[in-house]
Amino acid sequence: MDNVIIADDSDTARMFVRRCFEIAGLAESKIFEARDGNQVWELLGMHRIQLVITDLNMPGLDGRGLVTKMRSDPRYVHTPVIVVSSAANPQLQQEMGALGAQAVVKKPPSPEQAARCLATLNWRQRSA
Amino acid sequence: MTVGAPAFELLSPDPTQLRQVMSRALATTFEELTFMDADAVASHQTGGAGYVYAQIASRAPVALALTLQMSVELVDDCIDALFSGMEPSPIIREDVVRELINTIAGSMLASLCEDRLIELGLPQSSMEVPTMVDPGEHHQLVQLGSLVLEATWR
Repeated sequence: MDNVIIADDSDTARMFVRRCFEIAGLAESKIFEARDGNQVWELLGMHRIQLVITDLNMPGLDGRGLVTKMRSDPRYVHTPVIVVSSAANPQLQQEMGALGAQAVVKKPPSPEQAARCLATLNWRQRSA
Repeated sequence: MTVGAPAFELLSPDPTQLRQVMSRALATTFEELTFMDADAVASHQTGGAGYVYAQIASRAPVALALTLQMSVELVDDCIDALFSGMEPSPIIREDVVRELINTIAGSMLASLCEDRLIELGLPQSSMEVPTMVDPGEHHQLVQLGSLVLEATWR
């Protein structure tokens, strides 16, 4: 079973993003929720995580800081990261790509957008 | 709420264009996040049970503050659409309104400028009328029933 982290400081956003990605292909994944990048970092140390889906604008360690921190740590340098942001535009996609994120999705995502995003990662659900 | 100093030249909003962008972002956000169209939002004419407020500051590409006012009844309809069966609480009401203004702001700014990075502050919320530290000299307003979205800038 895949372990996935969804990070957002908003309960509403986490629920919405989770629902979309479950419909899009993560229904069989074990999903951990985090309120900021620091909680993501704790979860990364506790579990084998196959995918991180994170908001950008969070208190504490934000999405940019999280991606930067993950890419500078050999343990997480290859862990795929999807950024979900209300401020998604081509400039943000370029910036996040340069930092090491695999994809940027506009908030609120649709299940179709989430599915396209997972497809770009060649995501294959693993059985339990 | 203070607006931080930008690292590059800011765009100056055109009030007419801003109003169009605000209206479009409002409609799109409600449709995509709460599955409510503009008529459903506008059907709540008053806030008999009070209002929920949220504010967010945009630092770039436009320096402005956005304030969203929604009646408790409208927020509760949103909660029902999002979390069917959940009993509304003050905490979840404020969370929903913060997420709405965050999404509205991002949508507005992304449509205003595709080739500039967008810098948003963290949304703040309250059940009381918020005090603007830096209200700005200009303002633009969109109203749908009991919902009011206001932008202020210098």
